[in-house]
Amino acid sequence: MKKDLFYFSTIFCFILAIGIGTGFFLYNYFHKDELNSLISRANIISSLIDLDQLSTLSITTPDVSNQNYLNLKNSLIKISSYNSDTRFTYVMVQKEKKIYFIADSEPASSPDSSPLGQQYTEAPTGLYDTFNKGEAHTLGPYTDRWGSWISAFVPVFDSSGNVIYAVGIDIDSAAHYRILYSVILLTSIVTIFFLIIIIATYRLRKKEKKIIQIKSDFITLAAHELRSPLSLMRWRLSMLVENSEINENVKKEIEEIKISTLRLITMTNSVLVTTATEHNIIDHQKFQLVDVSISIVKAIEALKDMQKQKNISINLSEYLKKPCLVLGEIEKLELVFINLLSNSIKYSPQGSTVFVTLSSEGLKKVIVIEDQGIGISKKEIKNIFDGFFRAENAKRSGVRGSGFGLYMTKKIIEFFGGVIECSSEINKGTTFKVTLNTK
Amino acid sequence: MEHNKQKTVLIVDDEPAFRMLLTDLFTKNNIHVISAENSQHAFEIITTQKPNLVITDIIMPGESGLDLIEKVRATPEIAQTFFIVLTNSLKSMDLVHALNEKVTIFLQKSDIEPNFLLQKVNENLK
Repeated sequence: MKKDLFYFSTIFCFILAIGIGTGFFLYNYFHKDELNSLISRANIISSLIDLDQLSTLSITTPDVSNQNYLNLKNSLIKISSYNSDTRFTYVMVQKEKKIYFIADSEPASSPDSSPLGQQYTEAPTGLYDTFNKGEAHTLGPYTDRWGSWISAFVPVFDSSGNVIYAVGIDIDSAAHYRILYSVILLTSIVTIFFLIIIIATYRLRKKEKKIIQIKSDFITLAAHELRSPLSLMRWRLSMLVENSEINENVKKEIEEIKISTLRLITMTNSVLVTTATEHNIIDHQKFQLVDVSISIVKAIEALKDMQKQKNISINLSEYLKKPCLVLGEIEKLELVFINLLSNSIKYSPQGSTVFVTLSSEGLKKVIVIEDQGIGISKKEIKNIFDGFFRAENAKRSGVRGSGFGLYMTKKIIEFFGGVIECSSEINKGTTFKVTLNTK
Repeated sequence: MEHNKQKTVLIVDDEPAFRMLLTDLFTKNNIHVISAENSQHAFEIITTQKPNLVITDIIMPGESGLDLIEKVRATPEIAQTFFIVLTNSLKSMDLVHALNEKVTIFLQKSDIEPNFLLQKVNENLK
């Protein structure tokens, strides 16, 4: 659960960081883009100014009726009308460190119009730089008596490269920021959308895990409850078998009941072991080196009756008769081999052979169990370790099975850090390869 | 058999059938049995009658078998009492290991035969 929380928080932070990053990037991108486009527009306007015509003006009130002034004023009005987002375009001149308007894009009748020769008293510092250093500048947002603006100023040079005029262009800063805030809003919505998905997934997963936990708690409890009466039966039956007052024939019957009881105990234990391994209840540090040969021999011993019934011979490799240490627990490994071998016997034809070999592969031990049984189809082989799965031909064969055995087997082997693989061919046989660690 | 030389085993289990079973088993093998159905009662018996060995379950109503062991270990005059934990609980294994390992044997009810328990009891009664 903690791992999940870490995993989801990491993704959460990652998406949040990407969201914020994208927001910043887009904000800057659109902001700079708009400023650059303002400079370009101002440059275009400046290139349209006829310097010869303008130089004839004295920048005093009588010029208002000068045709050259009217031409300039008209072109500014026209240009402004084509650029719907620009509020003002204007041409200025600097005289004795003061800046004066020559003409702007407002019709002469407009109250916002700056008349010819009016001093621009609140001119921003950037505008002085445009005149003094010949640099194009963008400014804003700043507020003057007409409103709040984003502006671009570009210098107009004479033939010898001196700044003689400047062209200004203003756009409403509110409109500019409306676009930028929309971009931020859009990015935020997308980010929040993803964050909500992450949170929802996390909560769903938490719920799912809780359900699995409840399920496994229930199974564990049920298995525990079964173990008490089963143990009692086992003990009583053992005591009856050893009771000298009971005659031999009855004892045989009791012996049979005892075998069934033992089988029930093994089954409930398997369920408990599987749920325990599924939830890592058992401490991994407690694994010890155990002799896997013993568990194989014990498993074969436990399946003796079944083996006899089908007249199956089990061919053990020589190596198995010597101790062979692997990491695990004897009882659980015994369960593994009881499962694998009982499957081999169950699905093999009468009188066939099951081969059990053991070999070393580096630091690992490999146990191979090979039968000559009905096999598993290529399509179904990938599902055989899923809980409660049974292959079609296994169902048809009439052999009883729950589909739980291989699932449990795989869980136990993986719990010990091992690997189980299966290869098979229909009607030829099945091979299970179990690899266990020694370190 | 002289009664005063007979060893005494205390059985602590909340399940009457299992108490009866163990009583049968030990009585047949000439071991004197006292039984208790809960930890509190067991603790009184251990202090007053000082049995040679105690076989206890873990999960019982009220105090658990582990509580009993801890309580006994904390009482100097009975601290050395030998315990065999006989249970069906898988999870309690770790808890038992945490206790004094030298004088505690842990057995799973479903995994062993009566003779095995008898053997363990006899070994530790000597």
